[in-house]
Amino acid sequence: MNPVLEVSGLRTHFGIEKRVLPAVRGVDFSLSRGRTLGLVGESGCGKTVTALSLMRLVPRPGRIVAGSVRLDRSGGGPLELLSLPESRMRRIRGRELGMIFQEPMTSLNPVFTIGEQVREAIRVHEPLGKKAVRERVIGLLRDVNLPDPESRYFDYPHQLSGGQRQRVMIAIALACNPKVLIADEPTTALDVTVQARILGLISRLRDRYEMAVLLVTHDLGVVAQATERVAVMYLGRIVEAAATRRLFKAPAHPYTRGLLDSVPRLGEEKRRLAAVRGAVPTLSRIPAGCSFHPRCPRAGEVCRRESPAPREVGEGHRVECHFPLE
Amino acid sequence: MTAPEKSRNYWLSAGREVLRRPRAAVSLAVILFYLAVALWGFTGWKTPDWETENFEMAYRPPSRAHPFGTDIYGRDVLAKTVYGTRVAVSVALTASVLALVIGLVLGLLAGYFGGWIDDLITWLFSTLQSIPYILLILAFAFVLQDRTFTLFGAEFRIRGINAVSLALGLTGWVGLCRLIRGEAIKHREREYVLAARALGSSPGRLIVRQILPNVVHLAVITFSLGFVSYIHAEVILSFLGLGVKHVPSWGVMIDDAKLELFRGVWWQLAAATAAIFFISLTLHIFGDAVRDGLDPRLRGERR
Amino acid sequence: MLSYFIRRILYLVPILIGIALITFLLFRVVGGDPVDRVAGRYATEEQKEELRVQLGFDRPLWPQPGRLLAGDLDGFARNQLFGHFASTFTFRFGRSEQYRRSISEMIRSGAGPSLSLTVPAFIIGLFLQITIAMLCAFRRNSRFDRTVVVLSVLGISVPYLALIIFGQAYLAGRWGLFPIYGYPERFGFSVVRYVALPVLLGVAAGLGAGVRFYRTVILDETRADYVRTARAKGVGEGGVMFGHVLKNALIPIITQVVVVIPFLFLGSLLLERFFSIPGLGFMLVDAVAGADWPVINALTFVGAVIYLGALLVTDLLYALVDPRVTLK
Repeated sequence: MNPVLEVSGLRTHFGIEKRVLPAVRGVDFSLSRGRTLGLVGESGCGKTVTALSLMRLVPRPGRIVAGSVRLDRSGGGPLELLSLPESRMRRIRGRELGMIFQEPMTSLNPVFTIGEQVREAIRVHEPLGKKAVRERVIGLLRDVNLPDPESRYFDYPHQLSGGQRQRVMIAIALACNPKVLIADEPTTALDVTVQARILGLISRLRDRYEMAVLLVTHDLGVVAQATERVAVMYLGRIVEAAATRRLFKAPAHPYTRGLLDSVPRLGEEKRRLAAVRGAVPTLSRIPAGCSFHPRCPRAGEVCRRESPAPREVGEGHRVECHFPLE
Repeated sequence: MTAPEKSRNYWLSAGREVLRRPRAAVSLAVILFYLAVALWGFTGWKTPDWETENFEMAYRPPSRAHPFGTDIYGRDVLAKTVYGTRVAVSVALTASVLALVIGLVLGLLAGYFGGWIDDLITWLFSTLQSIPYILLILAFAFVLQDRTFTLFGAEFRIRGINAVSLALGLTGWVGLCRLIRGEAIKHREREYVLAARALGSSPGRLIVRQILPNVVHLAVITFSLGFVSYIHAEVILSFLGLGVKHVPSWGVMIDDAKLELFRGVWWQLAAATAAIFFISLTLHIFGDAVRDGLDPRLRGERR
Repeated sequence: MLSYFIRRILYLVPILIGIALITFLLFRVVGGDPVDRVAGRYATEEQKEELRVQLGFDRPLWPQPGRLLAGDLDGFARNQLFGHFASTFTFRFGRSEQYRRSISEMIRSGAGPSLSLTVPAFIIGLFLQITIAMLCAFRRNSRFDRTVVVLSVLGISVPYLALIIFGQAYLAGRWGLFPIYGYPERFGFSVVRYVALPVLLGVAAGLGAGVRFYRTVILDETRADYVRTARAKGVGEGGVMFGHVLKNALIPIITQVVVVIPFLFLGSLLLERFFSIPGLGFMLVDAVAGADWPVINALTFVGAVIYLGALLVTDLLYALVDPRVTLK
């Protein structure tokens, strides 16, 4: 199946004064219609910056320095997003790529009504009449299961609960029926029960709107629940990517293994918490060779010198490690 | 449980962070220069003579003998500017210290003790705050000038310049007091203060050891910005006749210039304006640098 | 909403009493007996005594609790503090010592000229400040932005007085672009000619501080999460700044603006003085020069009352701009 969005060699750097902090250091992945890719990693590993890079919304002083993001078009060849002029990129945002953010509390503008904010997402891209837009907004609010959409239309964000606001954010992201939905930690700020419902909603809407979804999260539970494939990020690189079930069953990278071990499971007598020893190094001091080697239990001499090349360890299972687990 | 006490190292590193910016270092140098000139004015040691009148030398433009020219009485404008520095710095310093002490003490008291003490202090600063600032200073300076007070048997007479310092200091503490009170309330409920209280520390010790270090940076910033505004206020009050009399000050010099300028005598205005301009510019830049250096949120970000 | 305002006004009562108390302490207790000043050098002792009784200065300063205990209510009420409160709260400020005119009347006649100067200066100034600040935020870190930041710090450091003197001597005096000073006898279109230069100088003086403040406010707002959401929708930079940021920035802007309102009525002391505009600022400067105590007392109280009124207006404006605020 043709991928909808293909990312390769993506590099994003933050330049603070004279120092350059490489937040994303050559990332490749692709998204397919009707599928969800989970992008998982500890905080500071560059997963949010990757998501923002796809939208070209990296905040200053960040800058995309290399790579390609190709969007599949129904007619004609793929469109290279990173070389588009800003005015054309603006027409892609919201229409082809929708995005939802972590903080439903602050991501909506407090001084405009829910209706106005969803409406805006439609009107910047499509010249529709007032009534048509309104009907579509109500329809969208109904699609995301917001109770009583006709009267919610006139409510302000502060009158909604966190989960309801995240539903509104999803409605905004879906307003123009995008090909790709980027969800950056969409459930982190929500209660566990609300979390499950929002994830279910995203999956259902993905199928209905035939979208590709990139789900950025630090929560392996979320990954297990809502994705078909998963990519693990460490210090700005994807160190392992595989089908979700395979990755959970047979992780190949010691880091992935550590992450999985750190999730407490019911029924296990002795669990090893904090299975990854040490802390994430800062971006200004990325270790030479394999960047994971200082924390790695399997590291050998070669790991200190050479960064591992990606290799296939199974069907669709790629890992960057000199000594992958069997 | 450890108190986030800001150790000497913290202040050293904050100071280094501030002075790492060349602008801040240059500004501090200029500020110290002004303070040195003011101090020199006080010692009277070889200070330039501003008093000798010489009518034949009236209104001479800048020359080698008089780099800033002369005024209507033939007095040296440079010497007047130097003396004016002494007046401006001493007014601003007295007022700043007064405002700092009142604001800090009342703010900490109100914030720490709460209850009726807080009510009383809040009432006091809300009241002062509702009088437009310029009116408040004017009223204080006007009422206080040339008054004689008997305090503990000793007689005090407030002369022009002291009235200005007092008026500025007695009215300038409100903003700082508000800030400190808010911070003190915030810190009062923090765990380390509660813990110290549970261990039986006395209130005075608690305020000084635990709360004060956490509000010092607010005081520093308010101090440097207050200093600027007092210098400008001294100019306006002098112009209104409430400031110094019979000695030169920047305000009086600018006031003199309002008639001189029509005759093309620009140097007296230029000298006083430049003197005020550079001190307030450098204090602003320095204040900004202190804020950026002490506010971790802003560290590393270019503004 | 009505109950809200009633509560707010009740809350003002202790503040108003505080202000009256401060003016009493300043102008009566510290200021002392005005009779010698008012009566003039040639008044006899009897005349002075008569005047003292007339002005109420023969009474004790503070209420005497002894009288209250003795059941002498009238005697208890006969003191200078209560007299001061009564006249202050009824806005009966008496007469100017200098001109023997009713102070209320002086305030009424001064308000017009003051407003004719300060309202245009305020509106033009605010418009320019916010526009420039928006442009800076719009093109943050550009050469334009950095130039404006530097210029505004330079602008703040210029002493106001020097700016006025320079403007008057050069723009009006030497180059004759404006009248040097004056104000028409009767209010009419010719006012524009006379207030033009003072307005210009007032705007110039406030520009640096205003731009600096509003730029910070607007830049803080552009870092908010909802701005990112708007960009992710595909909204252009103009739509983000004017549609989203400006309306949110109005909340801190209102707070700043209201502080300025009392000064609209009081005028700009220095500008009115230099350009001989017969407003309240001129009146105040004149009162200071002539040691006209009752006038300063009156203006202090009136200024505070206007400020408190402006605070009430802010609450209304907040409710109008910010849907999270309700007046309850």
